[in-house]
Amino acid sequence: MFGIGFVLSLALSIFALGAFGVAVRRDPLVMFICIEMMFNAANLALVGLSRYLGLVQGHALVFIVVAVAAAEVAVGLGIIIAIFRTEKDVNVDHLSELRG
Amino acid sequence: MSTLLFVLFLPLGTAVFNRLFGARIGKTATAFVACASVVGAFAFAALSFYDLSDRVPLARHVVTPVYTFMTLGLFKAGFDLLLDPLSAVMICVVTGIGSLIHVYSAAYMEEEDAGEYARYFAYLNFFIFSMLTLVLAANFMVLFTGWELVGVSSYLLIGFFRGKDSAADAGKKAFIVNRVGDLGFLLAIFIIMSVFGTLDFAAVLGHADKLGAGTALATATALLLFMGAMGKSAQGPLHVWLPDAMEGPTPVSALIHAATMVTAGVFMVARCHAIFELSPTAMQVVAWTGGLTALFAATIALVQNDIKRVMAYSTLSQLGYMVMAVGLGAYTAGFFHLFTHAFFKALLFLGCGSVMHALHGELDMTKMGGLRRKLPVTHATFLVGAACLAGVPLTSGFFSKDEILLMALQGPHASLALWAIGYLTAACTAFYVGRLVFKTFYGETRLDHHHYEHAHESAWPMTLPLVILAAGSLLVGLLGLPRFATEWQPFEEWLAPVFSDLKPFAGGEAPPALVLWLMGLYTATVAFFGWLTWSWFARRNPLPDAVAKAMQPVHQLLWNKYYVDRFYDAVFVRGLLGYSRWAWRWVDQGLIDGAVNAAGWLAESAGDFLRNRVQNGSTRQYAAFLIAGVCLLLGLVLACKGALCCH
Amino acid sequence: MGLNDALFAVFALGALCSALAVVLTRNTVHVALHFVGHLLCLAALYSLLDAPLLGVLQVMVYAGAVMVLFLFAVMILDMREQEREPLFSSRGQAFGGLVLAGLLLALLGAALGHDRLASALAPAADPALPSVGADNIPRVARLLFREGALVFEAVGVLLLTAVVAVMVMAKRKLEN
Repeated sequence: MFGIGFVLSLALSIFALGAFGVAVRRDPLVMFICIEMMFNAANLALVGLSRYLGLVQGHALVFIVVAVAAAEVAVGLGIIIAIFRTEKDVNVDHLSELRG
Repeated sequence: MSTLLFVLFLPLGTAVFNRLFGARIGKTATAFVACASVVGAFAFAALSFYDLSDRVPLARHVVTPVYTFMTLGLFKAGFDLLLDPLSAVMICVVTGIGSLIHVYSAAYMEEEDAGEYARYFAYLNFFIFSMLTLVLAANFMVLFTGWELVGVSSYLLIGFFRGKDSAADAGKKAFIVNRVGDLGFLLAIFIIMSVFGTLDFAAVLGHADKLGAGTALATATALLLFMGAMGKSAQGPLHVWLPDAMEGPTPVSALIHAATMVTAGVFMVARCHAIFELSPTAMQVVAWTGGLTALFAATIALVQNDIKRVMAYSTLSQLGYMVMAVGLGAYTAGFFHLFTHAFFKALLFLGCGSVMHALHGELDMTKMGGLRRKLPVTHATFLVGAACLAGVPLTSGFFSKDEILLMALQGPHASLALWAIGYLTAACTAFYVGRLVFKTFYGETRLDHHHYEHAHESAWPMTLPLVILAAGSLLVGLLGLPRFATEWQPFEEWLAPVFSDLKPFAGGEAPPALVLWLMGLYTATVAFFGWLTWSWFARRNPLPDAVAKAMQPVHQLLWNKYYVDRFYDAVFVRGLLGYSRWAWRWVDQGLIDGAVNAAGWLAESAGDFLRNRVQNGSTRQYAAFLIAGVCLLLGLVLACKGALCCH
Repeated sequence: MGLNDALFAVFALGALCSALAVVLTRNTVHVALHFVGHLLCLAALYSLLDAPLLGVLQVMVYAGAVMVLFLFAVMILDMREQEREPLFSSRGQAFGGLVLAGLLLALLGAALGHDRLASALAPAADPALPSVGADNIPRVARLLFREGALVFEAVGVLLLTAVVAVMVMAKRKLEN
């Protein structure tokens, strides 16, 4: 009953929600979580597709994506903490060193 | 005829020489060089005249190519000279009277310093060259070149006295008004070029009927040519520059604005008579313009007090006669009047100069009087000139004016109305001439004692030309005596080959009785006004002032020159200035500067937008842009694959 | 509607709701916890979609290690003032974000719903195809360690690099 269309729609919706969250939230950690959510949406799509095509390549790709995402989280959190450790105000909007 | 080249380029050479070195060689040397040059030119001109007369009348048409500028296919533009009876007379007049005026100037301009003296003679020589170029032209291009060159010379000489604002303004006015006329002249030349494909006189005037007799094209061409003539000869609405031109030195007024330059318009119409004959309408316009200008100017001269102004308006009036004559088809009569007028008007102007010189620059005749005792030679020669101008019987002016008026009654395009205008003008002329002479030379002097006692006759360089011109004024009348009086018509016969293409007048000779009756009428008129002005102006008489007061409105109108200058100032000058101001504020500053400023503002705002609003370092904004970019790419790809539209 | 479908529906709903919660909650710790829930729902979905290995991996690695790391970070950074601020900096920004997300959704949907793609998937909709869950682990293992061995090793290097990077950053901090 829940065919590939449903799975893909669900994945897309989660992906869009994640994008929305990245654009709107000001807390750096929450932004990061939303990025992770987008990763997961992609993973879901991959799993769904691989199930309906009868292939395991999708699974392997998901495996790798998870590994890469983990590495990225480690480094990203390190950066976030490095920037915001001394700041009292944790707000992405107040960063402007990337200006110009 | 290489003599022509001497005639033409001798004055040019000395003009350049004097301009460059005149200040260094001193006044006497400068004057000598300049005068010798013009006298030499006259000698060569006379020689050319003689050579021409040696030929058979039909062969008196010599074209001398001097230099060919360019050849475009069939069109050849060249500096070519034409010597025929018409131009031969003109070069003799120009160089002859020119030489006398050069000699006169040597004494008249004595008070100037060496630099200014040299500049004056350089310009004067340059004018002679320009005028000769004009009359010796063999095609419209050279004619127009000479036309413009005399305009330049006139401008330079009118505005000669540096530091005098009125002189500079007068020079500008002359040039600008001339330019308006030149517009018409140029348009006519363009038409001629497009119809005939060449500007050569022989080709154009010999086959003028290509324009079509009586067509709108012919009329247009003729009228446009006449527009140029109006500018140069100060007719009709374009007359305003001539009175102001009196700001220049008096010998300049004598040469340029009496004897030679202003006659260029008449000369041009005479030269192009073939075109004018094609359009009776155009000739009517010419004749009426001339007649009305003559009357108009003569009436203004009645009330002017500046002796040079009276002479200027008189010139306008006499030019009107000449223009009227050529408009009536009486080319020889008009040209004869041009010839005689050159003599006596130059004489009168030089006489004015002599008076001014004696009175240290006084011009107002109301301040003069009784000068005949102090300036005998000037007085005597002035009387001769005045008599010619007024048309006293047996003077040259009498014969030439008479001939024109006769043509108005009996000629190819006769018109009683024009004769009446001409007669009225003659009456006015007699009056203002008498007024001028009697107020200036007769009666009790109105000068203060000191000035009167110190007034003395001028030096020989000034009086000799006066005498020569006076003799000439009296004698040249003999060349054009009325036909019923004698068969000997040297002037008419000499010019006949030029106008041989005209259809012979079918009306026949005028009956001698009519001619004599008319002469009697003119004589009576001159006598009457002579007596009137004698009684009014030669001694203290309250009558003229009473009359003037009684006719106050008319007097005002004439005194203000019919308010033409005021009108032009209000409409054209102020209009143009107003437009300029508008153009400056709204077009230049508003539009153009605005556009440039806007470009700068645009660049600045774009830069500001990019740096402060787009690349502001806000991470979230960058992320949002990322997503937007992805959407854009996706959209593009899908659109290309047609996924967005068809389903 | 069998048990499979019912469970599928439940966990799908759960995933969606927790995703919404992640985006709309103010308190950062709550956000992290909601995300953990989201991950668990996704893990369940993986299992239901014949990917048991991935389901377990999701719980172990993602929900287990990665989110713990997140919670550590949350605890290090002081968020107390943050919670008093409004969720969205301005209505305009929220609307803009919504538009962007909507646009993304629409475009992606269009891409996936495109004829060619749909037709490519149509036969795949038939669950009669060989299931991937049968000998899932060996098959994945074979793919990873034989044909994808290079990629696998590369990922390992990547992880090593990440570790080194984090250590360098941490070390610099300590010296400060």
